[in-house]
Formats: sequence, C-alpha cells, structure tokens
Amino acid sequence: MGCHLARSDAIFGMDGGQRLAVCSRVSRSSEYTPDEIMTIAAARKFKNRATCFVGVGLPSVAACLARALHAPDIVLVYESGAVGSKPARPPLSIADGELADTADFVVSVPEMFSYWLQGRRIDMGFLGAAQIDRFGNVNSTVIGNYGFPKVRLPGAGGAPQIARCSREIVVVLRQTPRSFVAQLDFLTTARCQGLTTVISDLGIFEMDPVTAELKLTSCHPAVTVARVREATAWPLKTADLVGETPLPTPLELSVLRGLNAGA
Amino acid sequence: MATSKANPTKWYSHAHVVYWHIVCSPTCVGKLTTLREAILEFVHDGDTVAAEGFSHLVPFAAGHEIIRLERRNLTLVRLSADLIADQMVGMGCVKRLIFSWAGNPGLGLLHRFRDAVENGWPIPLQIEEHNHAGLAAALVAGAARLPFGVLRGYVETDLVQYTATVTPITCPFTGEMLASRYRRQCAIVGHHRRSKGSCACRKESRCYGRRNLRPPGTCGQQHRASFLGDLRCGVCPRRRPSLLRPRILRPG
Repeated sequence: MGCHLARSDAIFGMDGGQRLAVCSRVSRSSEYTPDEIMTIAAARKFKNRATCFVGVGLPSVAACLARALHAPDIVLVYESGAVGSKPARPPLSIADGELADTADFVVSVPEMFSYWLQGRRIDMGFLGAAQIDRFGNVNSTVIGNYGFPKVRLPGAGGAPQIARCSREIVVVLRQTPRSFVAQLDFLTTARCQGLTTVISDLGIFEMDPVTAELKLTSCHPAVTVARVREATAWPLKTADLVGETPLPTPLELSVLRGLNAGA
Repeated sequence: MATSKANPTKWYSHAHVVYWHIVCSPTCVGKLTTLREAILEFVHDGDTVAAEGFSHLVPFAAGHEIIRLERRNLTLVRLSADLIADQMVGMGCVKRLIFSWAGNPGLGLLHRFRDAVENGWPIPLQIEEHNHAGLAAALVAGAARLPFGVLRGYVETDLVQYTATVTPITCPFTGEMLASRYRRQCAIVGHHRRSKGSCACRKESRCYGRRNLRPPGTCGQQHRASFLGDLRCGVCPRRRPSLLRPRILRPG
C-alpha cells in the first residue's frame, strides 16, 4: 500500500522534526523544486479578501502560504463545510479538524454546494487534475476506457460544481505529455465560464478570450518555451510576449518549507 | 436492552432509530443496542446502505462490523468513498457502489476499489458515479421525500452518459436543469467525537434512511455553529432544545 514510500505530506507531530531538519538543509541553498515553484506561483494567484474554494493537497498548501504572506484576509472555503478557515498548517484532508476549529462557521455539504457554490458566492476555485486539454477541460475520473479503465482515479468530487460556479478557477498540475493531452479520456469537469489559469511545474497558462484556448503566458525560471512545448501533447499557442515567472523569494521558500514541515 | 420490532409500515417510527453504546438519555426515543446487534438486525444481504460521515466521522466500526458479519451484495452509498468503503469492497461485501469521489483523502487512490473496478477482484463492482453536488442534492430530495433533486451541472460532463439516475430536465420557467434520484434502506452516520469537524451529509442521510444507525453522543454533541450545521430529525425531543441554544465559541 505504499507504506515504504515517503509520505506526500508531513504528519503533524509525527515526522515534523525529521522533515524540518531536511528542509532547513535545503533552504540554505537558493535551489527550489519544481513542486515548490508551482505552489508558490499558485499562492500568488490568491487575491486578498477573495472568497476561495480550496481543494486538498497542493492548493491547500498554496492557500496557507498566501494567507501567511500577501493575503491575510482571504476567506478560505472547504467542501467539507468549513467557511473562513484559518489553518496554521496545511490540513491533512479537507475535513481536518484544524479547518473546522479555525473556521468562522461550518455548514453541511448540501448547503455548501447549493447556497455557497451554486449561489455564486465563490470568487476563486483551486483544482487539481490528472489530465487537462487545450480548452481547459479536466479529467480526474479514469485513464483509459470508463468501462475497462487502465487507471481508476478518484472521480469528480466537487470539482465540476466548483468550475461551473466560481468566477475564476486555477488548475494546478504537473506537466507531462500524459497530463497535458490532446484528447481527454473522460470529461469530468468542463472548463470554467470565467477566467481559467493553469499552473504547472513548467509555466503558467491563461485562457485566450478569442480562441478559448490555453496559451502559455509565463515560463518558470530556467524553463524554455521549447521544453514546455515538449511536455504538451497539443500544438501549444504562446502569448506574444512570454514572460518569466519571478523567482521564489527567500521568504516564500522559507514559509513554504515551514508549512510543509508542519511547523 | 429494548428489543421492540421495527414497524415496516411506519418508516418514521422511533423504534427504527438505533443508538449503539449507552450515552443517550434513557428518555430518548430509540433503541439502545450494541453495534453488532444493530447491524445484525438492520443490515441484510442485498440492502442499500448509506454510510456517511467525513474524515474523523467515518463510520469505521459499523463498516468493520458489516465485514465481520459477512454481509454480501450490498449497495453502498457514500459521497467520499474512502478507506472504509475500500475495505468493504476488498472484502467482497459490496456489489454496487454509489459515490461521488473515491480516494484516500489527502493520501491517494483506493487500491482495493481500483482492483475491483479494473480487474473485477474480488468481485466485479458496479459503480454509479455522481459528483458531490449531485449526490448531496439527491440526499436532500430523499430526506424531503421528493422524487428527485434539482441542480445545475452534469450536462456538460461525460458523467451523464454513464449514470442512469441522472437525467436532464427542462425548467418550466427558464432553462435546463438536472435531476437525480435513488432510494435506500439504511443510513449509518458517523460520530461527532470531539464536537468539531463537518457534518457532511449526515443529517440528510439520517432523514432519508428508513432504518438509521447512529452512535451515542451524536444526539447531544454539536460542533460549533451547530444551528447551521446539524438539526436533529425529530427523534430526540428531550435533547432538541439544547440544539437550538446558541453556543459560545471557545478558542482552542
């Protein structure tokens, strides 16, 4: 069951100390991992005072990072029902007690989806994905045929409603030709009616308002456009001027590593 | 220990509500029994069982009891089908899974569920897949004894092709919406252990279930802002006033 592998997230109070030591070794250098720049780029998208619907995992870490840095008044909403959570550490899952403990209030799941999401009270939604296509549609259900899947993934969850009802969505995923595909195996989440931004470990993509297609607007430092194209399975369009994502600042890196260490 | 028989003609009969362990007030209308006896009496082969409760409210003990009692051909309803659903699938208890998300929250995929869907082991698993909003709407409709729930969504996704219980309907006033419906027999809800956390769809599950199992303490213990999150379904008259009393939030 993968118990011999490293945990994806630190377990608070369990392996925090050990990981802190590892992280402090890393943070002495100016190096950062692709996941770190992806998280930091996602954190920069959080606007202060916005109401943000956050999924678990990387978006959740990004939300904690944003709240610690430039967006202290952000309202974080989790699909388990916590509204206005102020987590000091990234939650283990969306129903982590930390989220309910620090929330302004807690609502039921039907209320969350009907009054908050469908009622369009959410400014930004942050999603993960397994596959994304050139129009920003997302698959998180199956790889392969639905009836006879090669890999069965968790499925839709709250994502379709988040994408449908938020004013803006940010999709965060690692970029390979297997994740940035020409044709989705399954359409789980149709693209947002509003603004869509995709952040990968190679660059940032935004929706072209005319063609409704994703175009590369920014490459992360030391990543070339050619490399992004290589990792994209469709003929990628780029903005007229492809910028470079600003380097992670030492403050961003140290706060992020502190969060990941459960400190 | 009370042993009154459930009256099948009155689904709302208080005798259908079972508390396990002993915490509930003796004046609570309901039946005190052990979890094992509750499962023996209320969960039969071929039943549809909704087991709701998120993260720390997951009804693990009830799921494990169902596995121990070797119940078969169950239809399991669970919004976030997580580890307990995975174990029940892996032990061959579940024939059909109605879910909206199947994963180990924060950790990854469900390996027994994948094995059942991808390889048909230990038994082939039929799935009925929704999204959270859809399944939550279905539960709300069910609790209100309506034939279906209505929501925006689904239309533009591939789920519609594979989920027979979802149908587009046209709004008689404006545009297009969606319906989903289903029925089930038994609801098991998780325990509010430390009066924190979310109540997920527990209220709706409880209102929908013809037979409800819930652990003791769910009756009196509320999480903060309880009046927003969790109303009783009219089975506990003595405790009910306390639910409406606003609670002072204590830090920490």
